[in-house]
Amino acid sequence: MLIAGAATGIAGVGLLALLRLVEQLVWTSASRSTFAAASPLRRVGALLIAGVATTTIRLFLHRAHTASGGVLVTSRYSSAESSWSWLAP
Amino acid sequence: MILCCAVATAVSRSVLGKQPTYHIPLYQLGRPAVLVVALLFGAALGPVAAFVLKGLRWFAALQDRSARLAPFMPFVVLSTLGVASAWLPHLLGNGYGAADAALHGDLAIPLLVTLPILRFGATAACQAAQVPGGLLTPMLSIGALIGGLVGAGVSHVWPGTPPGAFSLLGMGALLAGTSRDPISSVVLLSELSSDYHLILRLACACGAATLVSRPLDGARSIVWARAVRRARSQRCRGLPSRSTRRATSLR
Repeated sequence: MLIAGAATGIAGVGLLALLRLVEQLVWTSASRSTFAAASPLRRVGALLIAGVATTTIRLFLHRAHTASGGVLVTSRYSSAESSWSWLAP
Repeated sequence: MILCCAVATAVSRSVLGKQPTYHIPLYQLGRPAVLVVALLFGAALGPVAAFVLKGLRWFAALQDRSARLAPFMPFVVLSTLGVASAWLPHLLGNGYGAADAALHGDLAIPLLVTLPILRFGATAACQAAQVPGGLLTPMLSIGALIGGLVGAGVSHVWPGTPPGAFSLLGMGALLAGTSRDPISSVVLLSELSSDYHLILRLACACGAATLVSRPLDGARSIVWARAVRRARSQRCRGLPSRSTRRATSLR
């Protein structure tokens, strides 16, 4: 328990440091008012780059998965089963 | 588990320091009438919590219907959010900044009206497009903004009442209403703010929000909705789903 707790604490500190590093790289500071301090052009640019990167990685993973014989996501999603109506209480 | 949590907290605090996540001024809400207001406020946030849960499902269903566009949705959502953030920088991030500003009463009324709606839209759209930034802190920030708005109104009726105190109550009430965990919400808010003065008011608001939201949207919570969403995603990709069992157990 002690080792697990200590490892979790160290991992938490490490992840927080990584998050601050990414924030500093994108916004040049990691304070809470960092978004307001950044220029509007930087805000739009950062989100556009994030969108392009996420979409590219997703498309790459999607193609890699379907090429390896996996189930095509779109074909399963378009079935009647994909409706979220069964989630309604 | 308690020992594990205590050791993890001690280790992280030894490195990061003891500062609380939310810096909240010391509020004095001594009037007994405020207790009733906290109850009513919590009850009023119950339907809001139910609406939030339904809204998250609605956005997810919308995303599922446009299956062919699904891989491109992160770009669509993030670029739209980026353009919107040119005018409203408070839309970005996990909401700590917006919640902090609401807790200190630094936000103008027009922002307190528009930001909760827009932040909810951004959170739900990102969640549906599977670029999630979590649901817990967005719920806290939306609750803080709604609470700030209500607090501004209450401070007009009772001059001297700090609007920020209602932001704290709003954070707890919306989190309790959406997670259906009133006790956890009270403890979490007290721990995050390192402030135990409002614990009774928080308990009233969180309890009332949970009691009202539960019959309006069943016994399901944001944790359950996220588990089901992940299970569906894994099942559609043909992957063995550990989340399916979790979602079933959370029903």
